[in-house]
Amino acid sequence: MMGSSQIFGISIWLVAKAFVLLALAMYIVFSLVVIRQIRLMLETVDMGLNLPIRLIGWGHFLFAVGIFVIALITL
Amino acid sequence: MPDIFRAPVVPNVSKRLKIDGLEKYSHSSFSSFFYLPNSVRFIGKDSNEKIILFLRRHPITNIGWITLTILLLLAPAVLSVFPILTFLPENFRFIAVAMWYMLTTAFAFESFLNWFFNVCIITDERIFDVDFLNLVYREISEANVDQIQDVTVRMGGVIRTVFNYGDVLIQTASEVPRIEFSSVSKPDLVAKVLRELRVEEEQEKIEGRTR
Repeated sequence: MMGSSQIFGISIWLVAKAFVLLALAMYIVFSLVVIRQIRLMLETVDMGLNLPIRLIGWGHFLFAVGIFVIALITL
Repeated sequence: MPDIFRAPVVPNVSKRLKIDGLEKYSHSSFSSFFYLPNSVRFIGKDSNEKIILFLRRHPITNIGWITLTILLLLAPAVLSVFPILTFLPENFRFIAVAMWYMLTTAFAFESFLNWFFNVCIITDERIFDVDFLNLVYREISEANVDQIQDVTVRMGGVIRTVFNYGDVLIQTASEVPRIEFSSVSKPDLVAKVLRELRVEEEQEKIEGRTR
């Protein structure tokens, strides 16, 4: 199925892979912005829960990187 | 020679921090009505400033995004019954589902952060309304207690009445003419605390104990 569809001699799935990777790269940037946002929020109001919230932010970033790597390998 | 009269030492900070009936509302950091929180710090806080009330939106206001998150989490399992993604190769299908869960996680986390960090703070000297409007933009409205001119409690509708939450609108003489505490728990108690603080502030002015 993957090798059958082509546009101008380029596999449509290769184009799809490029778009998916681009979207995931943008999502990684977004997750970095979330980490920056968390830092800003914790600087503004500190409720003694800094570590768990920071960890969730970094976990979210690692999740995004993980999905990017998996997509890079499997697609 | 023994003193006939010794004037009592008047402390610099004389605010009546203990307000009757509010002690039971001291809870965890996730509380929406946190009375005298000791662990809370905020930007611009003076060293001798004491936080009286720490407020955020009532937890029931989170029901919308929590329900939506649950539906989004269940969606791939439900949609697997219908052959929507069958035109995709297996690996693309897997990544599509992973991306779906990733976006759902982002939505839930952002919604939580929005609730957790959009707070209202009442100290013995000032009131603050901290709003994070988007990812990296924050807005902090602030007014001194003695600048408060009018406090209005707005509460209406079945849900707000049942769960006892509403808006507290504070007219001030500061640069920010109106500060709004939106959907806070126990708005009547918040108004009562503000009233007592204003009375105390007036008393301090009369006695010349203002900071």
